[in-house]
Amino acid sequence: MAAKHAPVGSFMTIGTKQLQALVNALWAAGYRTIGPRIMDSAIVYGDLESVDQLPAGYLDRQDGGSYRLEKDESAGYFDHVVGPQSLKGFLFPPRETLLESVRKNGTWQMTAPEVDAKPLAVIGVRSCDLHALAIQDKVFLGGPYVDPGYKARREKLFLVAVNCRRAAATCFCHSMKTGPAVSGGFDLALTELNRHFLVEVGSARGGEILAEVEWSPATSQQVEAARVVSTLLEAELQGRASKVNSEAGAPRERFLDTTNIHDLLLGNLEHPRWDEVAERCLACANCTMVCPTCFCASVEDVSDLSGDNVQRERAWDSCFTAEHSTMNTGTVRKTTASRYRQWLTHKLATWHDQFGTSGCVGCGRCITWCPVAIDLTEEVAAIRGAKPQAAEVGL
Amino acid sequence: MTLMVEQTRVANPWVAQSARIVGIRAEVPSVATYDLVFDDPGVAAGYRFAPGQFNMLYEPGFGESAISISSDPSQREFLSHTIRVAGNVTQAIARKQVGEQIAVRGPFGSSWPTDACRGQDIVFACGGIGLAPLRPAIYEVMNHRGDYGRVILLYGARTPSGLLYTWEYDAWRAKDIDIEVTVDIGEADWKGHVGVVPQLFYQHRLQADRTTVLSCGPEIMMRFVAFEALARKIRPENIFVSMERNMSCAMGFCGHCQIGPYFVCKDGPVFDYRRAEPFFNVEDF
Amino acid sequence: MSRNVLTQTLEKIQFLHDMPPEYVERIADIAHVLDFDEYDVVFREGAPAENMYLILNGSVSLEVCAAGAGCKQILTLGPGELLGWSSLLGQSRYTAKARTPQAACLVQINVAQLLKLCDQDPRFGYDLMRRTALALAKRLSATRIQLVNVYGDAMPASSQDVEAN
Repeated sequence: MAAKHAPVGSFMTIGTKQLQALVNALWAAGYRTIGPRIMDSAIVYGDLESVDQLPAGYLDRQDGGSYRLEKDESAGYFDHVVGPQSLKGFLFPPRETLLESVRKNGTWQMTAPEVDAKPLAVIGVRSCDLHALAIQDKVFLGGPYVDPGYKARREKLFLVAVNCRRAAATCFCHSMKTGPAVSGGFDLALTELNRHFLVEVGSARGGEILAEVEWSPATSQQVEAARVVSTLLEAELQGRASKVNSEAGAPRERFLDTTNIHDLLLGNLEHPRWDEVAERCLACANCTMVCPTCFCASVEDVSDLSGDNVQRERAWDSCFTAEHSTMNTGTVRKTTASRYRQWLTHKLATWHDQFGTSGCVGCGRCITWCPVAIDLTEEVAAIRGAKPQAAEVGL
Repeated sequence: MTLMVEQTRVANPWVAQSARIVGIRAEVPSVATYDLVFDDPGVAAGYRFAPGQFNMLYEPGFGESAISISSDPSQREFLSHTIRVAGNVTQAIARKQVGEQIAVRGPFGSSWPTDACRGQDIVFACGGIGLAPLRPAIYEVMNHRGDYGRVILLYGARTPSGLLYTWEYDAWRAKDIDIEVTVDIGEADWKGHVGVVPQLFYQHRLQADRTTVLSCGPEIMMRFVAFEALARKIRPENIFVSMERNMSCAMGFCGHCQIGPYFVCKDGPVFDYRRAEPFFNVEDF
Repeated sequence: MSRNVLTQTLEKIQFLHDMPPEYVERIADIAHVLDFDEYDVVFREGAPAENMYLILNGSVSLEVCAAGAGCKQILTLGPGELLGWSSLLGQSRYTAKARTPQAACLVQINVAQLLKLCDQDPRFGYDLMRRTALALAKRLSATRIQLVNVYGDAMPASSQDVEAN
């Protein structure tokens, strides 16, 4: 089949067979290709060789401290939303060796190890995670120092984004202006329309890969139909703020009032709510692990038994630990309240001062994966003094 | 989507450079100054630092420690680091002899505004080991003495035997630097001042509109120094402090050194008090 | 609390001991009684110093806080004592943190109003300032002794006292 040139900005349609061809083309081009798979009762990224491995017919039900998968015949390939993983772990690995030191004849030779950076294609990235990626780009690439490992892996990343057709109760991308529609930063973007897909070409590389697939040009009705998917979802999300009564037993649908949030939080550093949330918070650091933008890490030397071979390793860390902020005199943030306050004021307020955007993309993972269902939208509302929504609040 | 990034000046900022200890001077109990020279002459030739900046000194197997550079920036033969033994890394360094290797990453951080405050009267107000990060600024002021007005050093330690660099004070006085020293507790032969550094302000009439205060030492001391300066109508943007937090990367990646919006490693350690004050006095922050 | 009861309560406070009754009444006019629970914060170091306090019952602990070291108690004030002198002496911010280690009852007085009373009647002002100076002098003496105790053995005698041997 002759390759069909797919220019940037163009729209085409493909069916399930061509989606498989896309997957094959990515592997053939040297990309390890991953996509959403069901493993251990959750949807996480795994090697994707066949579209049959995608979780078609499954939906995720998310709420504070709760994640469940349900079979649903009407669910498409991508009607689930985000699981506990984001792109973070692929560019900023949980553990990475930064420096190798070998002692020969009493002298240390220190060298940077070869960066482990292989081409990676990710299928199924949502708008919130694309924004999170841009935020992490600022941290690791946009400052006075560039992290070489992140840079090398970032340059080899291929992204097949997906426009969400559905939101979980814990999603609030609309409040953070990070979705639901994908708006850039992708190589290809898919919108699922009744078992076929509208494809938008986002980059020259995306066009090259798509050229290996038998696509059909999209009609203007198809392009419009895809746009309507996002528009309807956005309208539904925006409607949450004014929803008076949610259905009995249904999870509360989240949104976050971000009006003046920077000054609101930094002007309330002694608000009693911090002590109140600290009574519930376990400082377990789940939120920081699942958060797609959290970047705190610790750096430690690991030695072999001889003591002549030392690896300097960076590992994910969390501001909820006692070791996170220290001076010679001891731990700075001694209480859970001060640590929760640090996490929230950083994520929603001082991140703006540091990087020019919010640190939160509204993915809702911190709400879903908190074992005690702490919900930052609720915490902010309490500090703002807003009344909680009609449905039951908290555990 | 692929993202091409411009190369930075430093190929890999995580890699430490090998250096040798060429001199060790015992200063006061638990404190010594280590003079270092890079093994690679190219690295040595290219290295420049500004007063107030620090290096990450690395001992493989133990880790890194952020140590302010305490030598004269215009002196290119070696780099001095005045180190107080506090944890595993500094203990490991304290076991070293002249000739031994030590690894260095740096320089990092913001610097004292010695350029910006030309023409001003300068008050250095410091305590304990806090004189070490200020010493490069003192040298720089002495090297351009005519560019500054009155220069006063207010310095305090717990005891007289804890006073750093006393052997240099005569040379500094000879360069028209007014030095006032105080201790928390006097000793047998101490005839000098007993009290805290902020009290030393009472001895001087300062002109608020032409005075810059540079302060480094225990947090409480810096807070009260700032208090005394503000009480004398010195503007907060003309008061500078050096903040401290333990660091892991010194580059703004690991997040450990944050105070509010600031990374002490790259937005500091030197901060003007107008920026510092809203966050530095919040408890547990 | 009615003004009469407040006046009688104030008269019994050690800090106002022997203050002319009409002066006490003027203070009662601008005072409020506040209850604090265990571990309540009365004011934080660095906060704007708008009020001074007289302790009715319970106690207040003064603390100095530094990052990493946490908050260290340096002094306890008990019933009858003055708290928050910074405000009265024109300092715009409190120089320590005040907490109630157990439930306590404090009289809060707005300093701007109090200073106005001093301006209107200098004799009243003199009386108030003299009491304040006395209270602080006592505290200074106590702090000196505390210093000697804290540094204790680390404090060698001055050379004149060393006995020849």
